[in-house]
Amino acid sequence: MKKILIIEDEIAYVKLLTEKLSENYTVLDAKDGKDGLEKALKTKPDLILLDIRMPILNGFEVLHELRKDAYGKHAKVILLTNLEPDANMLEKILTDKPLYYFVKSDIELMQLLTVIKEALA
Amino acid sequence: MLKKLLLILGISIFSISVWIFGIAPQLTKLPHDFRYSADIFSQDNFYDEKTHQYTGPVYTKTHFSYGVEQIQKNAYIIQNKFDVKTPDGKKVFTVERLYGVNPYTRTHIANYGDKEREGYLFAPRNLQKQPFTYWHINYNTPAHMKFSYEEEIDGLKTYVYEAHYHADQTENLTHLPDVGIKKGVNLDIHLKLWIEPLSGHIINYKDVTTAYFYDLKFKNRIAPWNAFTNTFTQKSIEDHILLARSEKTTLLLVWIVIPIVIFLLGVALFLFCIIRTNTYKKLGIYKFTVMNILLFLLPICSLIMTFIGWRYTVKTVESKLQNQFEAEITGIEEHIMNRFEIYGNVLQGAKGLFIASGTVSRTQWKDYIESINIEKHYPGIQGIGFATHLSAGEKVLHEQYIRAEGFTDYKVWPAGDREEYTPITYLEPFSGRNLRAFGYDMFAEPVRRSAMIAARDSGNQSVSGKVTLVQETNQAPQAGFLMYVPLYKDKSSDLAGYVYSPFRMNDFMEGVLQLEQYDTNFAIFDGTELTKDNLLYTYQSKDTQNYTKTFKKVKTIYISGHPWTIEFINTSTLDITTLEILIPYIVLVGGILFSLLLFAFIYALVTSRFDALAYAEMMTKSLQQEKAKDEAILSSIGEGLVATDKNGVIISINNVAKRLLGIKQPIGEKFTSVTTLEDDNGVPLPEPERPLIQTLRTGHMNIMRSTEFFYKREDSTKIPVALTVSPIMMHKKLIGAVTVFRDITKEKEIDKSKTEFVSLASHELRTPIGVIKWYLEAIYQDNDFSTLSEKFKNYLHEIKNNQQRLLSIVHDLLNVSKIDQNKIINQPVSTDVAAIFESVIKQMQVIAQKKKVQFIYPQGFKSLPLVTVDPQRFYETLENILSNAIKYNTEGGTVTITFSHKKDKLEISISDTGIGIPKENISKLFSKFYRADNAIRSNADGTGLGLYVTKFYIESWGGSIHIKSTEHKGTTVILSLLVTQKRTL
Repeated sequence: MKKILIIEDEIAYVKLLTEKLSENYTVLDAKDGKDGLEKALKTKPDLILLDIRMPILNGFEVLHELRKDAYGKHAKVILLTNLEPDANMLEKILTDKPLYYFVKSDIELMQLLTVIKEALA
Repeated sequence: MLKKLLLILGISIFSISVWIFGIAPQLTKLPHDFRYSADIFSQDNFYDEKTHQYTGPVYTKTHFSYGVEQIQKNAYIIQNKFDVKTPDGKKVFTVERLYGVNPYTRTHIANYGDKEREGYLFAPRNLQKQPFTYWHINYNTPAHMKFSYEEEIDGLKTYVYEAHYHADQTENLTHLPDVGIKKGVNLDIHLKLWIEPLSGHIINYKDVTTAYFYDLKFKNRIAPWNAFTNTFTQKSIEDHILLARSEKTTLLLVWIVIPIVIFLLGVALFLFCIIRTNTYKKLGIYKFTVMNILLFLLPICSLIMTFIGWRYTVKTVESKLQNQFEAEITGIEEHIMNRFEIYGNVLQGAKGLFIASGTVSRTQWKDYIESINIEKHYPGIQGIGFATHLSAGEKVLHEQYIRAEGFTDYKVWPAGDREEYTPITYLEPFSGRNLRAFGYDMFAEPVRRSAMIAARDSGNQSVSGKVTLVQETNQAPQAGFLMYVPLYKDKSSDLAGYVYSPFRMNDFMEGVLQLEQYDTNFAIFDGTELTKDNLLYTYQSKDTQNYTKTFKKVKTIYISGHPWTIEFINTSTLDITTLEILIPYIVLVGGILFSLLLFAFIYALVTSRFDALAYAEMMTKSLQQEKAKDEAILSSIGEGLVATDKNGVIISINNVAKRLLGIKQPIGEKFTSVTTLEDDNGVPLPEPERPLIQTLRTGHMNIMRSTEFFYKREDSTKIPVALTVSPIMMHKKLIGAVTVFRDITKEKEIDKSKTEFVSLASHELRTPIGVIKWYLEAIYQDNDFSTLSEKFKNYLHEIKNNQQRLLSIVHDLLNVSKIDQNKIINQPVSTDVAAIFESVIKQMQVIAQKKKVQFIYPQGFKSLPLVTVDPQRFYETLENILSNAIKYNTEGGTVTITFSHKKDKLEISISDTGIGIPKENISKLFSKFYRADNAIRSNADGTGLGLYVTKFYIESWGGSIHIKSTEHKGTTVILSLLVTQKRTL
């Protein structure tokens, strides 16, 4: 079973996503950026769902660090956030190349699940 | 103030002093042509030492006068010349006296006259009843006059002064027997003077004197000589009243009226000064300079000059008239005297006939007289006759002798026995009136006798007093007189008779004047008394034109020792032009007018200068006040204000601007040189792009509300500013610009924190909303969902609706916040809007169907031109407009989309059939968070941010958005977008 790591400080998201994804995937989670980065590097998941606003390290920092790693360099990352991308963020997105950038409140759960499924296919 | 008043006081005192001490004495001093004259009526009563009694009064009249003879440095030498005469008018001797008189004080001065006299020649002026010393008459002692009483003569107040004193007159009476040798003459005088007190003019004089002889050796009184009184004749008194009045008037004018006028002028000037000064003080100016006050001396001087000029011209005219008058008098006098000389010669010639021939027959006489043709050569002569002197015994013989000549009725008449007879024997022409005189004994008549005696005794010709000639009939009788030349027998002293001529006065004067015309009226009186009985002749001038000045002169002439007194009166113009008479008045009136004009001119000059000064001062003050007020207003403005001229040079700057810009004294500097305007990146705006320069160039107002610009201060700190540059127009011409700016640092901070807050809040809101959204989705997707009761399903439905609404609000807020923070990603490119339309309509179909709203749009989307928009943002814009069109539509309504291509613009019109927008709300639609009143009432979802964002985007692409709406009918949104390229068909 393919591994998905959810790095997200909001429990409600983690719970629902874990519930929906654990049928087909092994789901790991981390509550902050630092923990998430460590877990990602350690477990090398197939897909990382990465929040941006988080304690200790934010999502971009995690992604940036991750890309320095041999595994992380090509790791599939979906940025899943409530932040509207601005020019600044756009630059980071272009640099560290996440697979997708989704605004959580904009995307429907089913859409997300479909995207994840396609990403891991 | 005090200084000026003291100055005015000084000037007044100076002017009055100049007048009183300088001018007035000159005007009132004894004139250089001064004359004083009077007729003296004397009554003598001589004492007969033989009979030891007075012989009874004898009346005489003499004329005396004195006047300036010579002017010396400090004195006028006045000559007093008069004849001392016997009671019967015979001149005894002439007295001549010289007085040295101070013309100002009118007192005697030592070393100038013939004798050192003291006291006044006249009375002093301004008499206050004080005693004074008087010395002018013939008596050799001064009179110490004391005030006695007041008397009014002809309405003129006079003071009567009296003195009782003694005078030794021995040296003046040496013609009397033994006087000066054995006897002296002493006078006991009671002197009385009637004086007009102000002028000191003597109006009447009277002395009552007793003269005594005294022994020169023993000084004892021998006997009285004469008790006499002298007084002015009534006519002289009247003359002197007139003179005193005129002198009094002049003195009052010169000493009182004019100083008062000067004083009043001073007072007027003083008051004027005070009033004006107060006025100017109130206005804050006080510039009454010395010069201003001195200017007022000019009219005063002019008045004084006028007065002097007037007096001078009056004097000139009068002296001219006087001279003419005197000349006429002299002429008349000379004519008379010449005539008498001629007639005397004629008589002497006739007398010569007797002397040459021894005896002269009637025929010889007749021939002689005819030969000299008296009617032709000697007009006025009645005839020339011879009267034989007869003793008492010779009368009968004489009568017989004449009768023997053929005049049988001849007799000497008037009848009666007398000691001697002088009947008229020959008289040629022996005809007419003259026949009546034949045989008339002239010696029987006192007047004739008197003249005959005078001739007999002196051996010279004599003239009789006034008589009525025996030739006179009752028809037009004339006064007459006779002239006698005595004839003696053979060189002895025995009288033979008289060659004589009778004269009819009028005929005589006709001969004298010989048709000459005179301007002077005159009357000739026999003797010295001007009485009707003595009147011989009157001459009435034909020229009756009146002149105010009347000249009068009474003159006594002596014809062979017989006095004739002639009164000359002139009331006519003499030989003077009207202009000459008018000159004094012209000078006076003209001078006064000129002075007044000068005064008015100076007054106007001074006051107008003051008024101008006051006005200027007032204006300056009010301007200063206005300026201060303006400056206060400007400096109180909380915003920086810089006014520049049309070259951008600072002409005014307020404190706020100075503080904000960090410059101290920039007036006169170019605003764009002393300040730097930078954009956000610290790049200075080139001068031509500076709003001030643009405004000065275009004349349009320039407003920069963007936060992009900063003024860079001297210390390199920057302040963000919002500024407005307005042109200053005057008479439609640009003269400068006003830059108003304010520091928007705080506003920016507030704005920033506000935006950040909104942004943060939105993000924080999104997280829970996102959670709710997903969980709701999970519920709907869940297999157990269908097992839920309808009630729960409805509940969940409501939750989902509100979650969506919440999300939409947050989305809008975020958008606005991004716009405000300038973080929006907006890259306009050439875009095919047709595809976007299709996509949006497709997306909107769901909610449109829910509200049963139908889209109506042309099928030819593909033919639309490419326009410049950011596709993503245009999508959102369209979404926003269409969702509004659906949201605020009525159920079963339509949304109609039309396109029109105009030049470089694509116009898209989106019309709904909804509730519309109230007219008054349309203009506010594009504001942040604004929702029309009825939109709120309709309960439709909305944040009021949609149109704000829409407008921002469209305008950022160079397009525009307009809304037309009618309430309850619908709204039309018109978008106008820039066409980049036409789609090729």
